[in-house]
Amino acid sequence: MQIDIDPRSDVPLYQQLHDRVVEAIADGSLPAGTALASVRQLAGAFGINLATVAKGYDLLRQEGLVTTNRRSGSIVARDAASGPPAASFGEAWAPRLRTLLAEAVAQGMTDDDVNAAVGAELRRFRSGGDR
Amino acid sequence: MISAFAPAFSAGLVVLLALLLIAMPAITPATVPLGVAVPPARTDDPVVRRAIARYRIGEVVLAIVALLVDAALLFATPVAGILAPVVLFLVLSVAWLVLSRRRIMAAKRDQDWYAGVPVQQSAEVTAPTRRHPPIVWTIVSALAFAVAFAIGAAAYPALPDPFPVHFDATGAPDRFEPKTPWSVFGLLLIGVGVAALLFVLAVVVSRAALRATPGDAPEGTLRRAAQRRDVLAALLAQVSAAVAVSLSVMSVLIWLAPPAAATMTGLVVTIVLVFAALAVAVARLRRILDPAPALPSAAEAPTQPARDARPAGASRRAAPDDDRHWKAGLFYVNRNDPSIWVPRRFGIGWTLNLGHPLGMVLGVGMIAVPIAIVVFALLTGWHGR
Repeated sequence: MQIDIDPRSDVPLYQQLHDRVVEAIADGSLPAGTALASVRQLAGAFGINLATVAKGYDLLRQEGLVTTNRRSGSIVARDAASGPPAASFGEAWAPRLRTLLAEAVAQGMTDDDVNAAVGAELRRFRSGGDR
Repeated sequence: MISAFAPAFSAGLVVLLALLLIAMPAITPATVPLGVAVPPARTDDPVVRRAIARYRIGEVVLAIVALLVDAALLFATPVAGILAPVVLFLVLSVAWLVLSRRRIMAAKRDQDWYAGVPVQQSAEVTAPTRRHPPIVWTIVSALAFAVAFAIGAAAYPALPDPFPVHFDATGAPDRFEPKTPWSVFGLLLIGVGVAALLFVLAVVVSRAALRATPGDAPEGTLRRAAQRRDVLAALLAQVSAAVAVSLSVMSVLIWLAPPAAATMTGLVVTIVLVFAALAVAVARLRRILDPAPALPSAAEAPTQPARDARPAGASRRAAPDDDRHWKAGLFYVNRNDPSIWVPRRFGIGWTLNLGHPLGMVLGVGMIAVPIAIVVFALLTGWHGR
């Protein structure tokens, strides 16, 4: 599966790499068990530094979305069908959600607008994304 | 004998190289005209079209000059001049390429072609699937060799002793060796070796890592890269089969027919098969590079007024401009890139990343080893046969 990153963006490349993989897992493009390219392969394909890709993969591993072992390389560890998240996930996610919602409220979005936007994004993931 | 053959050989090589260099802009991606990265909206810019036309006219002129030099050498010392016209043509061609591409680079810089073009880098995040070249060519090679070995084994008792192992340009045998399995099957065994080497190369190419084409739109860029790679792998497998078939035919003819027929037929079969494989590969590359409906080119813009409202295709995403890593459009130097081999910019196949330590070592080795062999040959007074 192809992912695209923007070298001119303010978002660091490792973060973009992480975000695109999480989105692909959410919309079903990368189901649990999918074998991922090695750090070296992906860095070579992008033509970017090994450390950048390694950092993105580290982030995915910390979140439990990807596991790596010596024999089979990196694979997608879980997806939407793998059951409820670990308890620790909510603690990490809630503050980021709060900031995101605070931005919307501060900018004057109504609750209906926010709910509609959230619903639209969720439907996109559930229907297999736009890829 | 060699006085007529050598200039004919170098003339043929010059014509082949000229045809390849003139065809190159048509079989390399449109977003890297003459090795310069340009956004998809600029692939049909008048500057690009003129630069390519000038480059091609120059190559024709250079080929004619090289052929004239070749003709002049016909009356001079032949051995020293065998490859001189070819080397002359190659050196001048590279210089002309560097001059031609400067016009595109200047226009790109002055008119800021990448301004406002959103850039994206694309890569395959899933583990690459193991591919292999089309199996049919391996079967063809194995069959050709098996049939030839069987015929050779059957004919062996009736073959003359001493056995002819070398033929002059008229096809008359000029060297004999005692009849042994090595002298009888030697040519066929060389064929097996060469075909196997080409087959291994085809397998390696079919598994090469995919990279997005600079300037290309992200949509489908990796699919197109995979198709180009598969065409090259198939071409190598076909050339491997061509070697297998033609050396099998040549061996069988040497055993069963007059040698004059053998050398000429073998040569003709090789040339016909290799050119057929090349023609198929060029046609397939052209089809892959043909703009798909989803990739409208700037040339269509005048007929579609709607797109003239804003700079044609300016908002379409493109792979980033990476010209700073390409020296003269031919040499790739990028310390951050962990790849040792990267797809060639202007040409077919792969080139070394000279910014990678191992790439530099290989690059120096590829220049130093042939030079060392030539120097050693000159010092020891070795002149071939």
